[in-house]
This record gives sequence, structure tokens and C-alpha cells, in this order.
Amino acid sequence: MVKARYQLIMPLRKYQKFPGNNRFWCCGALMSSRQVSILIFCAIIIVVVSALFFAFDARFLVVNVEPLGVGVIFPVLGVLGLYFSMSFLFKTGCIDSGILPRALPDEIAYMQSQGDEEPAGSGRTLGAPARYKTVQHMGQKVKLKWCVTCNLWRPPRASHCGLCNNCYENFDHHCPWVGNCVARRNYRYFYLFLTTIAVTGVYMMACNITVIVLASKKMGFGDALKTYPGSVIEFCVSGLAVISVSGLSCMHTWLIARMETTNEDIKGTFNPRKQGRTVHNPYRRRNCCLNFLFVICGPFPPSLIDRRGDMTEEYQAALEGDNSSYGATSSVPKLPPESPSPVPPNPTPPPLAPDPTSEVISMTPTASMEVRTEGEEGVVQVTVERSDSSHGVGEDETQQLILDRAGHGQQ
Amino acid sequence: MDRRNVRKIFVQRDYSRGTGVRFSTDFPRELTGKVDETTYRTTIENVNQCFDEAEALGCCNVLEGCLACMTGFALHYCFKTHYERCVQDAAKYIQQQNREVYEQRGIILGDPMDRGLRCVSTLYSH
Repeated sequence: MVKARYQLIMPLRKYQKFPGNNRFWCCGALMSSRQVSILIFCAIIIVVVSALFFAFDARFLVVNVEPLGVGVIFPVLGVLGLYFSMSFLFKTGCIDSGILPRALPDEIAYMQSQGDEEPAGSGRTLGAPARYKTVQHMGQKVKLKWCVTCNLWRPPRASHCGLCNNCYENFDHHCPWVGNCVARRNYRYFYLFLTTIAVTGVYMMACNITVIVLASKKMGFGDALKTYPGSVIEFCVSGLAVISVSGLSCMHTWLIARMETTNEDIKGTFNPRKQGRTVHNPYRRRNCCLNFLFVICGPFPPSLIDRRGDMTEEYQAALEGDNSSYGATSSVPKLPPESPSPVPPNPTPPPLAPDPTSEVISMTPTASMEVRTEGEEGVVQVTVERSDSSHGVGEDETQQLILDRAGHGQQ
Repeated sequence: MDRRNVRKIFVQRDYSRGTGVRFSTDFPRELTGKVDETTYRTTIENVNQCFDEAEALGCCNVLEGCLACMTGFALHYCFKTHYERCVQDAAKYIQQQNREVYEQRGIILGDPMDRGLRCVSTLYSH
């Protein structure tokens, strides 16, 4: 009742009907995946450990470190550590991490009319062959895969996340700890979060040791542990955090230096041993310092999904058309939506279930087929990658012919 | 423009030079006879240049990135990013071109941001 009244006053926003598996907070200003409990758990751990640090260690050090006054530096550094780690954590977990918005029906109809896409409907069946399009990309031939959920040719480096049910630009991985996918828009925050946590953890452990050492000079080791139990708890929690995070931080440092994403590293896109030939990574810059500069201080691309925008009739119709099955794209009129277009008689909410055929893009596919089960919700992700030798060449030629006929060859 | 005779075409992305935003400068057949090829190509090329500047590792981006990083990205709550300004420039340029060149020939280019930078929607009457 209240909701209905609210909607009379406030127009519907686009995030309220977003087709992916995401959660939106603060009227769409913040967004995350469905599972945010671990993100909140992380935040609570950081706050509790910092509170213990300020309550016991910082106070002790301010009073006991000689010369008097120098000790003030300890709580100041602690505040900085807390501020940066919380800021990076929420920046990673609560922003749009680079979702590629789904194509609208008029675009799909246009691509079909250009002979750019397969006949309607055949892409939806499980086990149907994946569609590829070969384009020139930085001097190499790269296969773009057609995403049957998002209705677009996935750009190079993009991939579909089965849990969030969205395509992401420069997809890295889905991180349950920050409750979001790590992709183009939040990779730098994620990396900085890991580094800050590792550094702050080591700093807190050092402070704890100092406190215990100074205290045991006065009262002996056993009594020191009894008098300052906060330091012992902090030491254990920080130690666990440092052990788990520092390895990950080092791995990402190595990946940034090589300018690869975790996704590419796992699939071995640029690994000569996995590919059976030398593949060079076109994204790498002249030296690894430039790679770091680009990742940490590079351009900040804006969010593409316009989640706070008002719901338009066009968008609403697109969502409803989306549900009526993908075969229906052929019945979508090729006229623009400005002209009166038939609205489906029974509008039902858009599909929210993760797409079982969601596939991971492969820049240079190899002959392999794997079925992977993603824990929590029992989502089965089927990854089908087709070999070049069996079908690839023939398919490419046909595709090229189609492209040429349509006058849309990219090469 | 009479709405009944309006058709849409979508200028697709061009990945030949990298993952950055670029639109294909291939001349669509549908526009033959409505606008000359050079004018069309120049427009798309200029739009591409706006996005090239947005994605370049230039002084503006690096300085902004460093300052933002040092403030824990609090700077972004106060200022628009360089990228957003470039996107606005592109939209303004397209509007201006529409007014000066395309509208009188029955063509309207759309803002690429409306389509999530996937394509430029182009309306034309036939």
C-alpha cells in the first residue's frame, strides 16, 4: 500500500527492474551482488579490530613511548589505515563494477537484419554451439562470443558472471568477500584494498608486539598478556588477515605487472604452454611501471547502466520482450519503438534465474569442455569451448561470407 | 521528422585498436544518398577522438587518478572525472553536428551513452 503510493509520487527507476542478479541500496546509488553477508562480516571485523587497537594499544603507546608526544603518530596511522581500508572495501563492494548493459530488442533486430546473428531462438538451447565472430583486435585475430543472455557480442576481455548474471568489462573474478564482481570499474579499489589490509595488518601486529614487550618490561610477560588481552586478540585476527590477504595481494601485483586479469590467467589466454603457441599480450605497456600507472591511476570509466534513470517505455518494453523468449526477437518489428509497437498481452517479470548456458569468452578457444558447479546457489555453469580444428575454420569462412555480404566486414 | 517513415541503424563498436571505445567508421549502406561519406566518417572519427582522449594515459587522467587515490577516492564525490567530461563533450559534439548537418537531411545521431557505449543509434527517414 505504502509502496503503491510511493510509486504514484515517485516514477519507477531503472534499477527497480534491473535484469541481473544484483541488489541495490540507497535508491540505486549503491549496488552489490545478492550475497552481501560476507562483505558486512569483513567490515565488522575491520571495525572491531580497529576499535580494540584504539582502545588499548594506541592509548598505551601514546602514554608510554619516549619522548612524550611522539606516540601520537600511532593512532594517526591507525586512523589512516581504517579510513583507507573501509573506503576501498566499500568502493569495491558497492559500485557498478563494469556491467555491460543488455542490448535492446531493436538492436538485436537490426543485427539479425544485417546477417550478423544466428536465426532467432537457436542460441537458447543447452548444448547448442556457441556463436563466434572473428574481428581484428590490436593486430591479432580475436573471436568475440555472442552472449545469449545479454544479447551482445562480448568485447575482448569481457566475460559473463553466472552468479550476477551480467556481462562485465575486463572481468577479473567474482569475489564473495567483497560481495561483488571484480571487473574494470573496481579492480583498482580491490587491489588497493588488499594492499591496505596487508599493510595495516602488519602495522597492527607490530604495535601489538611493542605493547607486550614494553608491558612485560614492567610487569613480566605473563602479567602483560593478562593485562592487555585486546592486543593478543588483535594479533591473532590481524595475523590471519595478513596470511590470507598478502598472498592474494602479491598475486595481483604480479598480474598487474603482466597486465592480465585473473580470468585470463586461469584460462591461460596468454600462456604459451596452454595455447600450444606463442601468444603475446597486446594490453601490456612498455614497462610494468606504466602497467601499474594505468591500472591504479588510469581513466575512470563511468557506469553504463544508468540505474538511477527514470524508467522509459522503451526500456520497459525491452524487459518484457526479453521474457517472452529469445525466439520472439524475430517478431520484434524493425521499426523504431517510437512507432506504436505491439505490447505483449501478459507482461511478466523479467527472468532472474542465472542463465545455464552462460559461457566464458575465449580469445583463442581450445578443444575442451568442462562443467563447473558454482557453490552457494547450486548454479551450474557449463563452459563449452570449441576447437579451431574441428569446426572453427569452416564456421569462420561462413561467418566471413555473411559479413562480406552484409558489407559489415570489420577487416 | 515523420515518425512513420523512420528507421534505425546501429553503428557498431570497432575493436581493431584496443578495448577502448571506438565506433566503426564503415559507411552504412542505408545512408547512401542522404549524406556524403566523408562528412559521416569525419563525425564518427571526431566522436572516436573524444573517447580516445578519455581513455588515454595523459597528464589529466594520471594526475586525477593519483590525487583521487591519495584521498581514498573521496575526490570523486566532489568533482566529475575526466572521462565523464569527455563523454559529455562527445554528446555535445553529436548534438551540434545533428543541428548543423544531419537534421536537415533527415538523420539524427543518438548519444552513445544512451546505449551503454555499445553502439550509436542513428535514426533516418526513408
